[in-house]
Amino acid sequence: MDADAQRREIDANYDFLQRHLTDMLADHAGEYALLKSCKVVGYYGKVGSAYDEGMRRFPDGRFSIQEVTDEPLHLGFWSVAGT
Amino acid sequence: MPERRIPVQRRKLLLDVVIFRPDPLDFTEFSARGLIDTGATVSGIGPRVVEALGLVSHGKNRLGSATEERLVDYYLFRLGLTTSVTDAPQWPFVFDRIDGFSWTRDTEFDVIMGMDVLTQCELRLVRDNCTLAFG
Repeated sequence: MDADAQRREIDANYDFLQRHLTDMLADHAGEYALLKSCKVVGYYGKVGSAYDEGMRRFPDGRFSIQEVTDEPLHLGFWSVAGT
Repeated sequence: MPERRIPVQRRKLLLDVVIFRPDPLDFTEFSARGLIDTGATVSGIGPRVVEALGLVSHGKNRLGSATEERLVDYYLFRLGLTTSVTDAPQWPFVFDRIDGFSWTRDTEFDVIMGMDVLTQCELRLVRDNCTLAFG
């Protein structure tokens, strides 16, 4: 897989998610959004289901998965992620 | 329910785990050191796991700590646990796919087992006796 292309896909989809997060939270809070080219392919209750569907539809793996949440995930062992 | 005894080492709960790629039929594995961390809301993996399994990020998210918040890459992976560490072959119990954060610094552990995994287990800590039941 082209790592740079996947990075661009992730970044663009993340920006798309942030712009539409308020609307998504209304109906899909806590679900996982499967994203491709700044469009939502679907919402899934489990991240594995989103991944399986992503690989089925896009065998090159170029897609992203984002949890629909406005809360940062929190790390107890803070010094690890701080580097 | 299978149970794993975990030695308390220098106030940390460390155990041997096995990490797999996210594809259910791919059993390429990496033997790793895991840290049980009830303060982490999610699990995560370090650079050795990412490199050894050739994992590709499928997202990013904000990760908060006591002092800051930043965007980090997220990876899907599967975590396997066995009941004991022996030379005899033992097939691990494998959890469903985990959407975990990543870090880049070398640490004494490769995996942080956060509350997303621990809430699927029974974790008991009585003084320096710790057991983890799972499955």
